[in-house]
Amino acid sequence: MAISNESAPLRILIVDDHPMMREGLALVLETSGKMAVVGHAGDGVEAVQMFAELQPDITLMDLQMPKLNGVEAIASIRSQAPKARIIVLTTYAGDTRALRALKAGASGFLLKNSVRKDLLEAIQVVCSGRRYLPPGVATEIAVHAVDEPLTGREIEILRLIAQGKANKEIAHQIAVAEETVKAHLKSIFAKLDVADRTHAVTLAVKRGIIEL
Amino acid sequence: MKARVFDYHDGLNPEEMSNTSVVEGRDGRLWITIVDGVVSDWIDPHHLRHNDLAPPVHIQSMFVNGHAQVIGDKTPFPAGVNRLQIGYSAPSLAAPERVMFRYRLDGVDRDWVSAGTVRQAVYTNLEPGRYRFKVIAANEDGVWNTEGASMELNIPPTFLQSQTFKALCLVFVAAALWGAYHFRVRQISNQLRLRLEERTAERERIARELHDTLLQGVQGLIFRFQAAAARVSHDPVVRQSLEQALDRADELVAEARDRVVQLRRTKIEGSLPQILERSAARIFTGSLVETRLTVEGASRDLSALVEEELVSIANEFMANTLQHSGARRLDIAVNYGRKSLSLQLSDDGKGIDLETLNRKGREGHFGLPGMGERARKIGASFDISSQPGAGVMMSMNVAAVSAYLRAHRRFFRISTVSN
Repeated sequence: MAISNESAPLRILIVDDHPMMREGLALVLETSGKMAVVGHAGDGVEAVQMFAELQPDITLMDLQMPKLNGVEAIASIRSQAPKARIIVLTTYAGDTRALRALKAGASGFLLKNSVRKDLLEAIQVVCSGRRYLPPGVATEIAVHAVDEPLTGREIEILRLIAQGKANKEIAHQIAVAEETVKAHLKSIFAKLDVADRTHAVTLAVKRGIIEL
Repeated sequence: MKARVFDYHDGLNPEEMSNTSVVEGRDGRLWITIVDGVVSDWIDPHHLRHNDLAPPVHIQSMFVNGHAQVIGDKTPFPAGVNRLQIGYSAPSLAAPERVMFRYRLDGVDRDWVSAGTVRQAVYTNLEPGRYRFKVIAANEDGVWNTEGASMELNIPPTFLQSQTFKALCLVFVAAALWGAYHFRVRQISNQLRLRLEERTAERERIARELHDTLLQGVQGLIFRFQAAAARVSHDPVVRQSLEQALDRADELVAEARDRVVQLRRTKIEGSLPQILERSAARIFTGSLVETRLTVEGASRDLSALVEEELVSIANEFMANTLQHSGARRLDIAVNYGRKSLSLQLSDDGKGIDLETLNRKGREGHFGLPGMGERARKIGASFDISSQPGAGVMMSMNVAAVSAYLRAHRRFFRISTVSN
């Protein structure tokens, strides 16, 4: 499905919890003259409902949203419509964040601050059946492709560290020995190639392994 | 006037001594009549018998807590003497009944104790220690044996009276004081940490707010302008300048977003020495100042606020060094101590007139008072000293509890907060 002047405009669903963001995006899209914004959804649950209702050609999906987050909404939509074309629009980069979205079924990943320049191209690429990734994010994914991924437990521990919890508290919360937490930490540090917990958290946030 | 008592020991029968009268004869004798005017006896005051022999004194027996103790035995007394009885006597052939005693126990009695004719001294509840018991006696004519008899006593302490026990008490009191002191220190530190945590939470909230509303909104606005720009004009010059303005807006949003992330994370990447190294590199690039960084102790995670304040104070110091000191060298020393974190910066510049600098900070800088103020806010000590021509040295110290994210060891987990 290529974008051409002759064909009917692409029908687009915008999912973002911020109304000003949705309005701005809608204006950008409509100004191009080739797209029609058919719906605005403010959270993941609404997104799933509206997708089912509207069956848009393209869905622009924010990740951080109330009720149901972007990744969950994508998975839910794709389970009903395996061919749904969804482009993630997010503020933050990060290979893990992008991968998670792609694994859930997103066809593209775009940073909000490059929307002005790249949004139309991204939509075009996704419409032609390919995947769109910003070069920076693609490189990051490639760099970490051979890294051993963090386990679920390790991510859980990282999340607790990010909340400022001490080893003892973490051990108590996830019901393991403090020594076990320390062992997990060691493994986390090795996998992320960092020296301390602060750096581990910073890097994990940056790469989208955990969200704050 | 000297008096002398005559009694039955001298041959007077008290039963016969009613209506007694004494008459002095012409020869000076005193004639004593008894019942019915019978002359019983006479005394010649000019030829009275006088006993000049001082009586010998002996200590005869000793009972400690009711148990006999052999005199002169070197075996020590039992610990804790509740009752000590000492029996003594003075054999006097003439009139043993008239022998008078005095005794004293050095260390207890300040003066002689007149015992009269009692031949026993009793002491109760004697403190442990060395004593000397001495007893003297006088015969019926008041002739004293001042040599008397004496005896050394050594009463060992009970456990409760012992030095060991006193030392233990002292240790206990010291430990209690130490504990109380540390409890208080910890209390204050916890309050400080709590305040820091409150501030962190407040910043977190502001950051979230900024990110969720303001930045998203501005980003949306940029999109609107973009759309508007596309419609407004097809003039390439106008379009281009609008595009540039929007690019700049995008950059601003990105920058603001990074700041917000920083606010939220409240953590600059890297350890304190790494951050300072980066700062120094940034500030002194292209200058003649050479920086040297030394780190002591194992790197520890720091409270974000403490770290930030230390970094900003250090940055201020370095900016001063660059602008005013003419220094060639700047030393940065970080010490991760067990009890405190210390940061020291010194340059070899021309030094500063501290008084002038104390009075007013310069424009655009928070100045010396500001540096001290900021240090105080994170509970750090702040010292700055300078000699004209010999550079400036600044040092800050933050107690471990406030500085480090988690203490390695905790003796007192009295104030454990669980949630």
